[in-house]
Amino acid sequence: MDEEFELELRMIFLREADANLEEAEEAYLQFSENASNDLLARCFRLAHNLKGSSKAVGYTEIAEILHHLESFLLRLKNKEFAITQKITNVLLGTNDRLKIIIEQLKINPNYKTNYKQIIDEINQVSGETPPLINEDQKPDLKEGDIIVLIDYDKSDKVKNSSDINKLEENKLEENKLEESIKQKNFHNKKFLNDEIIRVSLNKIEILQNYIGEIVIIESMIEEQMSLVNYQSMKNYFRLLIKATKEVQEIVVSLRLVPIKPVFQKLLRTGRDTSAMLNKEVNITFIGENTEMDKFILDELMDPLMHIVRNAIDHGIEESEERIEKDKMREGNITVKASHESGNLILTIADDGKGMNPKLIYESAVKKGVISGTETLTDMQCFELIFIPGFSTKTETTEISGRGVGMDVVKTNIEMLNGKIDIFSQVDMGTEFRIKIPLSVGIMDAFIIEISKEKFIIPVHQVVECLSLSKSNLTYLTGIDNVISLRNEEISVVDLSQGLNIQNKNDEKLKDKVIFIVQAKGKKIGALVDKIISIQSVVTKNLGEELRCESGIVGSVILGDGKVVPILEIAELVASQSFQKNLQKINSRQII
Amino acid sequence: MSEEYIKKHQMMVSTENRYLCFSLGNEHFSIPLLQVKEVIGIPDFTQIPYTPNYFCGIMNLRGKIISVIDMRKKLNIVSKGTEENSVIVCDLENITMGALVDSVDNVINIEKEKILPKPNMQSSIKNDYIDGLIEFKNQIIVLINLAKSLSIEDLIHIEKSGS
Repeated sequence: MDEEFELELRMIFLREADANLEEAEEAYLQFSENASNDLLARCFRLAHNLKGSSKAVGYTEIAEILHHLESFLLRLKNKEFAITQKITNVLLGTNDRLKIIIEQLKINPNYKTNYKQIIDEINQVSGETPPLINEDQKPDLKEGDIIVLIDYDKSDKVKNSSDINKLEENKLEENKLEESIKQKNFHNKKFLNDEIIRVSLNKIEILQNYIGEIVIIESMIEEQMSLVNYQSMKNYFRLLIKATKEVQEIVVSLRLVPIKPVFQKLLRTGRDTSAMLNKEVNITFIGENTEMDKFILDELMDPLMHIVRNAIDHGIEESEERIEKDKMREGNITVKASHESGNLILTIADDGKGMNPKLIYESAVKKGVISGTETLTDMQCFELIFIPGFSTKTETTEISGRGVGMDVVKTNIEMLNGKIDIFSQVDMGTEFRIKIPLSVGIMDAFIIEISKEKFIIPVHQVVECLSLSKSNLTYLTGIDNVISLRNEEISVVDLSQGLNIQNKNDEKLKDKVIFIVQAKGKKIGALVDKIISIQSVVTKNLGEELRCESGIVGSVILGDGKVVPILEIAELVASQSFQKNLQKINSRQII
Repeated sequence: MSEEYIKKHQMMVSTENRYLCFSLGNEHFSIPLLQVKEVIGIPDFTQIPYTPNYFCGIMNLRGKIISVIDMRKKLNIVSKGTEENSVIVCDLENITMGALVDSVDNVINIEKEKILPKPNMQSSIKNDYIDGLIEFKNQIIVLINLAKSLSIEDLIHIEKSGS
């Protein structure tokens, strides 16, 4: 793998780790004796996620620490211990140490840490006993557990203080080491320290709004400008406009990011996972330039990693098995991103062994997730894997974890108002299909004009566009205007009639355009005066007070500050008001 | 400073007792100042099809889309001219809306106790959008309930009866 790619991956990881550790710290601070299950589950997931990504970029030591931390947190979650001040302290201490490691890694990518010591500390507090034995002790009275803990408490206090000393010594050594490496790593340092700050989306939104305001004010000044004859002022004004435009573009781009970095990370995860499992897997990525909101991208990272890891671990068979089944020796995973009618669609498909609904059902009954009396369709069986604590593999593996994965996937996607569907066939493979609305509402749209009024028609609604003058529109009395398009009769309505905004001065016939849209199984044509442009627009919701309008689904603020309504043609044409207007006009014509 | 003076002063400052007065034709109205977000000149409206005639359209207020309603048409008052027309942008129960009025006059201080109850009128005309009357400098000012007069239910109602 080329170096730059690796460096980039690490940079992404370090940034992510920063955020993750911050969040973990916040969560630990909320720990109390009666910490809620949610809180514990959250901590567990944080550790789990960070473990996954650190493994993905090759920081095995961090992963090792987190692995122990994770196990410990799992036991806390299962209420094997009561949470004491001591435990919280150790958790916070570990978190701090991880932070130090991450900071060091930013400066020196080859930084090595004394991770054994940290792990020891975690194990100490968790009772040093190997997990298996501890699990046997589970039925023990809780009081017993607490007594054990108190004992440790005393002895640990001493140790702890010496630990801190040790840590400080370590730090000093590290500093020395750092000095010597500094020169060498100057380039790296510069690269890795390209600071990234997290800004709330809200702030960007406010910024966006103010830029809109500036554009409006500019257009006002421009009008005044035409009244005076002051050349140099006009020149300066032009410079101002240019600068604003630049800023505007930057702000819009702030929110949009291509999915490419996620794909890179998935590729890395995929390779490492398959190498570890001795499986041969090809991962294909389609649509790496699909853009989406940064927020969505961040939230998707973990779910996608889990799904890919699961696909390799559970889905793809061993090479021998594949050959027996007459399949290609290497497993194939295809990850595809695209935009589809205002939604982001992500599919992750493998050609592995697929999922057997019966096995899933049985497993769910065994685990007590369902009672076993329900009759479920295959689809419903697949859904079972999203239930927390469900994992089809009997023993937990390093790769796909303990069944937290799919549960995280579902929660993260639902948080984005998205949906995840599973399609699977035994021996054919499994496909996960994720659909997430591009909630920030950036879409491509036609800006059109009907009787001098502008409207927006989203590109995704439109099947095709035809020029009126080149189409074979025929008027049939009593029915409609009809065009025949590739042996299909499509009725055409004039939007200006239905919207009742007819203009006496007829527009140029040659500009008129028919939009063909799909409406409830049939195609309809909508006649508009002209297309002004096609561009990306940011949609804004209309107020509550306008929800009742049928066919007008939102609005867009154009570059000049003007508000333009968005039409949903199929809905609009079907609406009562539209039909009533049409009838009125038709009856008038007949008279 | 006497206690009474301080009390009086506090009352003057407190926004709760302040009302924004505006005119529609020759009639005077007021709304609580706390509801008012800002007052702006006449912006560019975008008309929306199938809306009642008193619905001016939607406007862009720094990136936020706001519906504007022409109060004169809504209350059926003859406008006195367009010269001083303004839009009062107000927050009503989570909805921000604009009210187009003939002119915005002033801000007055009125103690809650001095607001007169609305008279019992011998007519069946709906007057629940009136919250009370204020007598100020020999003028009767109607304290109007914007939420009710611009009411969303009303809009929906008209929409339905129209179609």
